[in-house]
Amino acid sequence: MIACDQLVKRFPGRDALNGLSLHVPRGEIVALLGSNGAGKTTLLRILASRLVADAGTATIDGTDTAVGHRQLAGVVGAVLSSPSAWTLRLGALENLVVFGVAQGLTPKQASRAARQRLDEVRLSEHAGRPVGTYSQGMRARLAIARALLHDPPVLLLDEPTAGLDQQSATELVADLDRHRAERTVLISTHSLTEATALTDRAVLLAHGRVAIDVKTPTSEDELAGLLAGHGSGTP
Amino acid sequence: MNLLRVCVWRDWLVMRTRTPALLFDLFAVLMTAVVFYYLAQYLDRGQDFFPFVLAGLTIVRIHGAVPRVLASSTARIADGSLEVLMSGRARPAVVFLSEGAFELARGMVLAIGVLLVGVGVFGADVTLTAPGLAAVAVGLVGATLILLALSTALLALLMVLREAGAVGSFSGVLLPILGGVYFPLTILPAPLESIARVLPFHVPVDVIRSGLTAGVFPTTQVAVLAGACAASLAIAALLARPAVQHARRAGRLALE
Repeated sequence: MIACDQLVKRFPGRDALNGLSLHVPRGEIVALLGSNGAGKTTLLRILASRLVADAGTATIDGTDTAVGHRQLAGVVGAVLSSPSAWTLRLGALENLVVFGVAQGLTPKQASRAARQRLDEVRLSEHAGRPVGTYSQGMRARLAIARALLHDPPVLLLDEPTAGLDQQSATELVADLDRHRAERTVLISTHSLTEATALTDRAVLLAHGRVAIDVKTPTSEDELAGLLAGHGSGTP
Repeated sequence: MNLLRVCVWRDWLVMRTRTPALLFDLFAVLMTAVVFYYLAQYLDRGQDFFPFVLAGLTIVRIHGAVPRVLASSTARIADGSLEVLMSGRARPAVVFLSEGAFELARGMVLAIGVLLVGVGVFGADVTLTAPGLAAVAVGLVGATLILLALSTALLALLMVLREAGAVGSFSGVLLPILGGVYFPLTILPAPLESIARVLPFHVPVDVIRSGLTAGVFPTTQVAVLAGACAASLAIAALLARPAVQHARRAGRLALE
């Protein structure tokens, strides 16, 4: 279970999180919505132990994300980095093996897991090609493969379809849909299509706090109506 | 150790895609020996100065890997891949050591190249004995470990300061002055000599120099070298964790 209580994070010139509290039970898929600067990325980075909050606590299965990043490494898979976060001269397989070993797998386990995940995200044929030659869509799928390498029960995804064309985005959503079973997933997105297709619950962040927290409606129009009713503008 | 192994493997694969860079490195090895061979001729000390400085040049060659490690790590910070590695199970110190290991090992191979060119091509007047060669081998490994510790400590500093250029320059002046590379430490002013004696950089230089010029295996110096390696690596490892934790608090584990 993910539990955030009164999280505060300030950067020079702006307050990213302003007393945010959020609880996500095991197995739930949550869409984080909100305009740019609402605090979505900051929240995900704190949960992924890549950032430490100034105040408040964030725990995953009872482990404080501020101090327990080594314990949480096996629990959390994340897509938070830029599309260039690879050794661009090497192939996908070599890249995934390195990241898999960093997650605690042995080189053999990492190689086996990498081949399996590459197959799942339809990149096996390109496994030996330098990642620097991949399209945005291929890199996005590769990032999903990296996040899933160690089969984590918690997935944190920061706008995984950003910058993708419609078809690539649709394919990626289908890939994510296949892997959501039995996982707790937080996915930040500006896409209502993604939110309604993938998630059980929609949380709108505004000014570093939870503004709306509802069961995700099945229709985009209904979700758009809920958000508009709050007056927080576009997600 | 698995992370260190796969990072060395990764960097080896990357190096194989960069043949021109490797050729330039080999050319630099040759030119390093050329410069100091003719400098020795000019100083008219020929047979004394060249073998003396040859021992130091091997360390300078290995040290050349340190700015490379800083540059590649800066790029990995910028693209976010170092942050991903840091988010795994490995300790920060292990990640830093893994990031530097291949370059330092490559520096050691190039240092052997400097020695071979110096002796084989320019006829440096060295004493080739089995104990002497063993001392050179131990000295090279020791220098590589100490400079790996230096690169790890500088990476920790980089996480805090984010000034790769300044950190690299700082590192660049340390060794030539305080390592006894080009001149004996005894000619330094007393305060500087004291600092140089405390720092570990002169220890492998002394071991290699003893092996090359006297053909002996200096047991006491080798013991000091082993201690210096252990202490350097331990201190560097201690610095890594708080530096990374600082970066996590400041939100600067990756550039955004």
